[in-house]
Amino acid sequence: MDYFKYCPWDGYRFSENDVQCFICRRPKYQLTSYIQEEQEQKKWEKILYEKQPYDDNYIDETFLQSVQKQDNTNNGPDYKQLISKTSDLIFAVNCVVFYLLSYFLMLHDMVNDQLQLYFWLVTAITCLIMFSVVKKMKTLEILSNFKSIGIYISILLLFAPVMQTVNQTYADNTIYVLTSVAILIYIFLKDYDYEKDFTELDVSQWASLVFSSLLASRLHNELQVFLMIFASNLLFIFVPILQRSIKQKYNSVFRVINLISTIGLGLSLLFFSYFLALLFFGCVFFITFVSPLQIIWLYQYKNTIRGPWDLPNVKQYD
Amino acid sequence: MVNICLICDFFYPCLGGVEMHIFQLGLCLIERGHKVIIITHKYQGRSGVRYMTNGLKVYYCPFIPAIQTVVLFTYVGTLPIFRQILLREEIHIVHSHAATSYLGGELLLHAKSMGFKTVFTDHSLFAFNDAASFHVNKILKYILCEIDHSISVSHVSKENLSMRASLDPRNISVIPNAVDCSRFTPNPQKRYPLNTINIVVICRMTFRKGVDLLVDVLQIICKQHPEIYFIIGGDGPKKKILEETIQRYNLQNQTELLGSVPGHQVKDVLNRGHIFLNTSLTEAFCIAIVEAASCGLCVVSTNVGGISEVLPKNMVLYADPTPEDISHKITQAIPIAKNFQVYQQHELVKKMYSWEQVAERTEKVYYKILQTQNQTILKRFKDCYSNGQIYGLFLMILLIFDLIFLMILDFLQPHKGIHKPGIFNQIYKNQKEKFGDHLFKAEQQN
Repeated sequence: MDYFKYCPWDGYRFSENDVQCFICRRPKYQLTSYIQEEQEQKKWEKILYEKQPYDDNYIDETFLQSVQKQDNTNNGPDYKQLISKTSDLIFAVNCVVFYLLSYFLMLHDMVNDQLQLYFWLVTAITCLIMFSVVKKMKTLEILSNFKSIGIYISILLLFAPVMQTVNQTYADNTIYVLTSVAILIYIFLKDYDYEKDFTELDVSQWASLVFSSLLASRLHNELQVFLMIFASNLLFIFVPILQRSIKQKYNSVFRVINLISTIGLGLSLLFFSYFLALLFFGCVFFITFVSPLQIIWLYQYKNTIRGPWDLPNVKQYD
Repeated sequence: MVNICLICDFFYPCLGGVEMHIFQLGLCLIERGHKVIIITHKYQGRSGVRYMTNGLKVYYCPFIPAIQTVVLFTYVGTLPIFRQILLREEIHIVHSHAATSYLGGELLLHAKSMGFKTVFTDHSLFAFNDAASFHVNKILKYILCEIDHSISVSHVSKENLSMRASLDPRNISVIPNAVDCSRFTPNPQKRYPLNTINIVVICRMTFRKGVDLLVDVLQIICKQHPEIYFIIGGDGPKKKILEETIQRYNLQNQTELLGSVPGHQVKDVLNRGHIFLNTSLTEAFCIAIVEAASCGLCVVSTNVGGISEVLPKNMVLYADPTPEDISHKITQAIPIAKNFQVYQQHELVKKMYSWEQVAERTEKVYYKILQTQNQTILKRFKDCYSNGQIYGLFLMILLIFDLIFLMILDFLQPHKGIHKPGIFNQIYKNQKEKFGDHLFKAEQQN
């Protein structure tokens, strides 16, 4: 039987007659028994409630085993799924184009102010009714919402003269440049995943208020200013809430609305400028069909690290 | 004796996990014979130097918090005061807490330039694939590239920190949080309403605490088990959703919303319950379930983050973060909760976690790093450059500014001219009752 020639703990050299170590008094082990003792030492566990015979900075072979890296050998996201996801962006672009179209009509007095007023009021009431139906609101809640809108409209009417004069001293070029920047901020920073609650405005919604107040300063009378700001609040703050509610329950309805609004807007632009209509349809085509291909191409370079620290996908309530 | 400076944006009068950790750690280190000071920013009505229990000195520095009690990262704005404090108090080690505390991060960098040893404790988990995490991880990588040692509150947190900040895992120790079990004692006589199985939920009403899950669980459990009574404490942006759900499904008879629960009343609320429910979507440690277990409640929790490391399986029922599985586990917990050994569980938890153990293990880290040599300036430049070619150059410029600014301060306010403060009354330690300190009890190890 083989024995250790040196004590494993302090290096004392055993003589042939030694039965134990002179320094630490441990017995002179057989080689096989030492291996067994090592195996009997408690295995490290990934727990915190027990004191373990290991240092606090001990690294086990299971370290980082819970990390999962993205496997990019697959084909990546599905092309059809990506196309359907672009509908939110197209809808946001449609809202902006529609708003700018209304502004243009108002600025050049192409449509009667009264007609515009009726149009936006009817739109607001329609959106509110749709929201009430989708959310299955009770009568009291609906009446309360109408009351809130009434109060909001009166406050807006009071502030319309002020909003008309706030940015009046700025030059037209400045206004249009700032408006363009604010529109880009709105589109790029909009919450397309609806992660945030609607209890407070985010950056994109503030940007929408900014560009609506900038554009309103170029209009001719207070009614037009009121309509533009009312329209911006409706299109950029309330309609996304309605959009989210409709998408959660009736996704196909939302897609149909989106498609009709895109085609309708494009055809409306034809009356003003072929170039604008072409540009609009070109943008829509690029966003819907070309951008997903780019994302699929870029996917091969994606390096996502997943682990137990990631938030699970949970249905959120607003 | 080691002179330690604990730094964090989050401290009393804010009350939370990080704040309690710093406070308790400071007190236990003082009991072990070290000198401890705490640096934080000023709060409303609280500015200057304050002494807390056991002579724990707190510097409420005149830094204005920019957003959510976090000071704006100015890099050199805090240096003059910080230098004065460290030299005055003759500090050996600077210990910062929490990745989102930029005051701590900034002062760690200055401490390094001044030649002190630095330690960082991470209390949270961050992902890698959202915009906020990108920025926090990038800044953390810069701050921690020169750190002497790091501490995590769980093994998952250690893995997360080592990947986020690209740290050597041998320089990260796992020292869990603890709970003062003398403050969380069971009292089954306080359970009410009677003849019901009471489920207690106490959390901030935010997305990360899984309130959306709780909404679904409420509907399922209240329908399946009429004998269940939910006691829900806490406040936040998602509280309204809970209120609406209770109203919509007529759950008023089976639920009770307490709103914000002050810290000293948490124990009373816990003692009303049989079961504690935790629906967090991510947690590095989760002190709440340990407090609940200490009060003798049967715990049902989502199995996310580092929660599975905190308590043994016979004390917790782990569920997947889905309403169905959580409801299933609550159903399993109901018969267990009726015959639960509350006092036995309290004794077990008492042995598992104590602030004395945390202080002892942290002390080992301090002694270990005090034996290492300081980094040379060349090594520091290399560490800065390791963050990237362009970003690294920018960081090297910042480092040069820091060193120049320190030289200017050394010239304007020499070390010898800084007055040393008075030592806290040593008689206090022998006659604590005379000084009115009855509440803090350092748990003695057997």
